[in-house]
Amino acid sequence: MTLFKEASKENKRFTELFDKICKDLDLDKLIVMHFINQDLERIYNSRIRIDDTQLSHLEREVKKYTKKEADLKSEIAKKELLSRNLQTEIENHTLSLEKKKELLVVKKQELIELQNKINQINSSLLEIEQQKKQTEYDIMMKNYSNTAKNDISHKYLRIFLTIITILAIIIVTFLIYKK
Amino acid sequence: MNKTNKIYLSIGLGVVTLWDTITTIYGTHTIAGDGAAQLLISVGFGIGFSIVLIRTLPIIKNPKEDFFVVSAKLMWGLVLLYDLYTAFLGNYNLLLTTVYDTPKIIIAVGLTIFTCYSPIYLSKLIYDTSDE
Repeated sequence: MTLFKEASKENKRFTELFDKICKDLDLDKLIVMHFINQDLERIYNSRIRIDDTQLSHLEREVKKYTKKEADLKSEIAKKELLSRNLQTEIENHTLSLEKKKELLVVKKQELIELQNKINQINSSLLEIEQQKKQTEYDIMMKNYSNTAKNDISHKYLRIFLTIITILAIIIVTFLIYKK
Repeated sequence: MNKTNKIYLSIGLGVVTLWDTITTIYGTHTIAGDGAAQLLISVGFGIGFSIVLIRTLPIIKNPKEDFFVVSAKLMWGLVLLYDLYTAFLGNYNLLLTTVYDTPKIIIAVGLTIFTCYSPIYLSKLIYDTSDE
């Protein structure tokens, strides 16, 4: 009912305005109607054309964005695949690294053991070397003492050297003292 | 080495060692100055240092690493340095009296090395009997 009221009110308003235009401009109702129709037609056409243009532009935009979305989706899918591959590779490498680390620890341990063994051998060698030197020294001193005891020429040599040493020292001392 | 050769070499080196002892007495006496006590000390030093140098092999070849062995080696080094000095002094003043200037120094250095080397080699001949 309200809609009907509003329509009849607007209709009345239109009729009044129409009559006023005809009367003020002193034109025939048909001519005024013709211009009104023409204007309405122009407005309608113009509006539709604008909407068409906008629509086609929007359509193009939508198509462009849809394509872009598809491209991006494809790119994302590719990247995801790459990421998964990389993840797998990293996992494999991590696993391999862990194994290598374990191996390294084992080898280090072995190396320490070997080092300890080498140190022990070195220590034993040094000890043997020291013992060898000591034995050589003892043999040398024993040989000397045997030679000093048993070798007559050695005895005479010692006596000779002692005598000339004493004599020379006495002579030198005497000469220095006299001087 | 032939035993006879060794004896002759020992006698020769013994004589040079004796000269080394004399130069040590002379050098010490020159440093210490005149007087009976100084002379006595010089004789003591001469004989003592010669004994140390003749015992070079037992001192140096001793493989022990205790205090006395190491200090004996150190003392041996000091004795050798002192002996080099006194031998140079003795050779320069007592032996090379007719040579002058640079040749005198060169000859004195050569004689000093020979004089100081003699008791060391004599030590080897006396103590190292491995080649007999």
